[in-house]
Amino acid sequence: MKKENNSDKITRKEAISKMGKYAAITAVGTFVILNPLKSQAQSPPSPGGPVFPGLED
Amino acid sequence: MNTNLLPTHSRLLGEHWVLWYDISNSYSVVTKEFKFVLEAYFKAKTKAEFFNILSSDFDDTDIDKLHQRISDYLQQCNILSTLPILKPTILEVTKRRVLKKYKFKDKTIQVYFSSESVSKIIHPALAQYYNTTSNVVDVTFDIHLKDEFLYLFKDEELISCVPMQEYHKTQGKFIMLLLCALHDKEEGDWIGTLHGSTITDGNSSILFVGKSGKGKSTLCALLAQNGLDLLADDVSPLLSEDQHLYYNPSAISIKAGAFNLLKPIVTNFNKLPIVEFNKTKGQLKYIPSLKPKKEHYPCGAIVSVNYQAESETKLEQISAKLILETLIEDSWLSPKSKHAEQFLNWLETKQLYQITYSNTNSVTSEIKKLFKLHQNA
Repeated sequence: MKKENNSDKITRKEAISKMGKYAAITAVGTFVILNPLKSQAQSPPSPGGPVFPGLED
Repeated sequence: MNTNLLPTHSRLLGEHWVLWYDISNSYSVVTKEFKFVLEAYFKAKTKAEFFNILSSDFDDTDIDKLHQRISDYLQQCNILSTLPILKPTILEVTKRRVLKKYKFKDKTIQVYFSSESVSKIIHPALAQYYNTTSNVVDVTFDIHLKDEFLYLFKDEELISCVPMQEYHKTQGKFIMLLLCALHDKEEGDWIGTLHGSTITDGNSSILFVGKSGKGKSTLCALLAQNGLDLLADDVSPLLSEDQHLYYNPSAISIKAGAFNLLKPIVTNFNKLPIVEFNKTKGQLKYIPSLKPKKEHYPCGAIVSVNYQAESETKLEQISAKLILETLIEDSWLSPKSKHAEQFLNWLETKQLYQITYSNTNSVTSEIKKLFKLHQNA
């Protein structure tokens, strides 16, 4: 019989262990959301915003 | 609760969970505690049930805040990702004022630019492949500037149109199309184009990542002069089929700030032409390098580069969270669910490091040691 793989399940004990209630709520607030570029790009012209390129028609 | 908002893929990488949301193609990095509360949110059919599940671990006022926080978080993760619609535009043949042809191993491409100035966004990086003698052309591109917009066409079909200030998007799209042509692939075959430079020792490869100005390209130029080969600078393409990183023919772009460091190391550095793009960006030099023996290599490690003047060379392991924070927002990653899963699988098998350096000799030997370590692993 196939053994169920539980390695990616998080347990309550693991999550809240060694944490007081105050610490738990603080840790719950920690997340980031990262959005990849919608289309391919090279490095932007310079850090801190677009720079007007010296392009001429 | 609303299970439509569930992440499609979840992966524990080190101490953090990485969750991928299909509708927005966003990657969220959360703590184990956050994941626990998120699971409670989806498990509970009502708000009261959510309170019940968490009541032994949190106060009621905190549970109320958590409910709101999770609900706001899920809204942010489920914003539909859309692409702008292209207005149909017909290629103006009269704008074909400058022609450049490039010959690669078995492919020749030609690019028509509307002016010499516009050719600067592509030509210097590919100059080592410039070839005027090829007659048979496999793909034709056009890059035209009109009314302050840059238009990119492939075989007379409009591919992208961006304001001229965003020319790095035209460069990125052009490179994607070039990679497809050179490696006989479609855009849908790639997991992504990762923002980083890749070096190979002929067996495997290391991807160097880091925010602009952290010394990625400088380090790669250094390594390419010391027995290793450059596979890709700035844009490293990752293929779905074999999950290898592929060759990108663009030369290494070096900013003026690194000229002095590289002058004694790179052969004929002074003879390389200076490309002045605009006054703010300053001067650039493009360092051509020999093509590696193979077109693609598996990646053994990802190294975040941190150049710091007068620092000791130090290689240390870092978290997936730090690598993802550096990598994701400057990379294009395919929005397909299969590719997102493959990306997480790929990342899971990589060793992750940060290298801090200023000394060119010791950093080279440290990276060579790292290649050996992965060869023996």
